[in-house]
Amino acid sequence: MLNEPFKIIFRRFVNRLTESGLLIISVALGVGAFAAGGTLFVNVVNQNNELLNSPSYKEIVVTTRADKDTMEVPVIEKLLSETAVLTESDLDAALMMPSISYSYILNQTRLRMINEEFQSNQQNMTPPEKIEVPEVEGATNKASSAKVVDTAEIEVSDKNMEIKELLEEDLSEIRDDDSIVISDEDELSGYEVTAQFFDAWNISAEFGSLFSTSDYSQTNSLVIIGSDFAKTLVEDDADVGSLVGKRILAMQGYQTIVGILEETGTNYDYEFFSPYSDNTSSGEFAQLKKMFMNSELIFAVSDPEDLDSVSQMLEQWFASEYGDAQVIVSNPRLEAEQTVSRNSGISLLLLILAISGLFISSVNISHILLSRTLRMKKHVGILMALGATKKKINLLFSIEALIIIIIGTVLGVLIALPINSQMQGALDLTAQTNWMLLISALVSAVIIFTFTLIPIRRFDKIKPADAMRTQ
Amino acid sequence: MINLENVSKLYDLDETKVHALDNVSLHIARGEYVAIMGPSGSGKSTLLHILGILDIASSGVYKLEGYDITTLADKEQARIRNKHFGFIFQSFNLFPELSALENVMLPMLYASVPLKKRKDRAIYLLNEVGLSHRMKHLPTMMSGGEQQRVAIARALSNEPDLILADEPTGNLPSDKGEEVMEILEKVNKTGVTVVMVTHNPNKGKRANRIINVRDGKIIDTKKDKGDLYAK
Repeated sequence: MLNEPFKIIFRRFVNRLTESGLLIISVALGVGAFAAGGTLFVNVVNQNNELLNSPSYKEIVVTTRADKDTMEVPVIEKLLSETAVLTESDLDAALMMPSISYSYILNQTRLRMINEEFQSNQQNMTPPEKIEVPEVEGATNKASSAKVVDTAEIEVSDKNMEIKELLEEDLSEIRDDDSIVISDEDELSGYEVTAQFFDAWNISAEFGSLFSTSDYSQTNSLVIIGSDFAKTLVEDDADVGSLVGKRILAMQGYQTIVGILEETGTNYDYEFFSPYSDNTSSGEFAQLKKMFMNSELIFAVSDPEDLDSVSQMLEQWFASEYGDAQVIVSNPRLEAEQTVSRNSGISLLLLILAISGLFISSVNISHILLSRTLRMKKHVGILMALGATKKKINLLFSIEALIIIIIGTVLGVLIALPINSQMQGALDLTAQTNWMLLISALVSAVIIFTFTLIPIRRFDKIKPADAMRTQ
Repeated sequence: MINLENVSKLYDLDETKVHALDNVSLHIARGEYVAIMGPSGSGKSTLLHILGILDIASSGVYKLEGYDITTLADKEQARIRNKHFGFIFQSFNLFPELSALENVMLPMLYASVPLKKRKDRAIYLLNEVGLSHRMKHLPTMMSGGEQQRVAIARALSNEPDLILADEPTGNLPSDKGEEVMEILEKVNKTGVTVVMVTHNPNKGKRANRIINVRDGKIIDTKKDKGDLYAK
C-alpha cells in the first residue's frame, strides 16, 4: 500500500494527466529512438565485421565465361567455340603468387535422390528408353577434337544400365538394409571439391573423416555430407555418426558416406561434397561433364589487402593461358565492401539522430520535472517541517522519476521493436538481436534518469522556511 | 527549555544586507505559553522559523534542552522537528492531495509508527478537535476553521513538546479563531510549550508572556497575569 507521501505524488500524477502523459511519451520516444538506432548500429558493425572476416570475402573466383546454369546448353556449341575449360592444373597459378594461401576447385553438382516418390513419378511418365548422354571420343584431347554424335545411336553404356537397375530397385527391401539410407529429398545440391577446400574454410569432419589423397583418384562414389542434411537422414535423436560408412541411394549410383562435417553455420551445412578429380577413369562421362559444368577455381588470400593485386595477376595469368576475356576473375569483397560502407553510413546517421532524440527528450523531461519541482517547493517545505530528511525527499522524487521512466521505457521498447525489425530487413541484417535492443533501452533509461536527477538535486538547496514562504 | 544567545539572521537582498534578527537573546521555559508580537517585517516570523529549526541563524547559539542544535546534521534536525515540534501555520499548509486523516497520519510515518497505530491516533486526534465527520474529506472541501483544526491535529500527532504557531488565526473569522485559541490553551494546559506569533494584541494577551519584536530586536518581554499566577 502507498504511504502518505507517495499518495501525494500519485494523486498529483493522476490530477495532471496531460503533463504526466507528456513525460511518459518523452521517455518512450527517447528510449525508442535510442534503442532502435543503437541496436541497428551495433548490429551493422557486427555484421560488417563478420562479413568482411568471413573466408568467402578473402577469395577470388575464376569462372569460365558461360553462366553457371547452362548445363542444358548443348555441349556442341561450346566445344566448337574455343571456350576455356578450367581444370585442376590451373590451380598452379597460385604457385606464382605468394600471397595466395589456398586455391581449390568448387564445382557445383547435384545428387538426384531415389525414393518412393521418385519411383512413382517415374512410373507415371513414359520411362526413358535411353538417357541422353552425348559421347565424346578421345576425351583427353578436350574440346577442340570433340565430335558430334547422333544421340539416337548412343549405346546404352554401363553407367546407364546401372541407373536403370537402380530405378527398378525394390525400395522396401532396401529400407530393411541397414547399410543403405534413402533420403526423402528430391535432390541435393553440392560441390565437387579439391582437398584444399576444407583447409580454406577450416572445416573438419565431426564424424568419419575428410577425403584422403587416394579418394581423389578413386572411381568409387564417395560423399561427405553437411551436418543439417545428415540430421534428415536419421530418425529423431538417433546418432548422426552412425551414418558414416553407409550408402545413399541416388540416381548417380550408391554414394558412400565418408564423413559428416561439423556445423559451420553456412549453407554448406545442407550440402554434400564429393572429391574432384581431373582423371577419373570413368572417363568420358566425367570428362565431358567437366566441360559443360563450369568449374569454379577459387584463390584465397590471407590478407584482404592483397585482393586487388592478386586479381590482376590472375587475370594476366589466365589471359596468357587461354587468351583474353576467356575467364571472369571476380572479387566478391568489392561488392561486400560497398554494402558495408552503405550500411555503416545509414546506421551511423540513424545513430546520430537517435542520440539527438535521446538528448532532446532527456532535456525536455528534465525541464518538465524542473517546473514540477518549483511547483512542489511548498510541499517539500511542509514535508521537511513535518520531519522528512533531505534524503527521504530525494528518494521520494527519484522513485517518482523512476516509475515514469520504467513505464516510458516499456512503451519505448514496444515502439522500437517494429522499427528495428523493419530496419534490419531493409539493411539485410540477420535479426537475432532483441537482447541488444533491451540493453540499449536500458542504457537510454539510465541516461534519462541521470537527467531527472538534476531537478531533484534542487531540493537539496531548499530550506523549509524558504519553501514555506512560497504561496 | 529554549535558550537563544545573541542570535542574528542576515538576508542578502540585492547587495544590501537586511538584519531580520539582530542579536536576539531569549529564554523560554518548559510549559510556557509565549506570544511573539510585532508589526509585519519586524522579524517575528524569522524568530519563529529559527526556533522551529526551519531556518538556521547566521550567528549566535540556539540551545534546546542544553544541546546546541545549530551544528546538528540534517537528519538530526529533521528528527527533532518530527518528534518534538508541532507546527501550525496561518495558511494551514495541509497537503491538498491528502484527506484530513492522511494529513494527520503523515508526520507519524517519519517517526516510524506502524500503519494501524498511525490511523488509530489520527482518528483519535480528529475526534478531539471535533472533526470525526470530516476524516475522509480533502482540505479543499473544508472551511478554514476546519482546515486549521486538522493542522492542529497534525501538529499534535507525535505528542510534541513544543507547538510553534505562526498567526494561527490570521486567515480565520473571529469565531473560528476563538475555537483555535481555545484548543491551543487546552494543549498548553497539558504541559506542552506553545509559542505563537501574532500581531493581534487581543490574542497576544491570552499568553503567559508577550515578547515584543521590532526591527529584528526584542524591545521588551512582558510577563502578564498568567505569569503572576504561575509564580
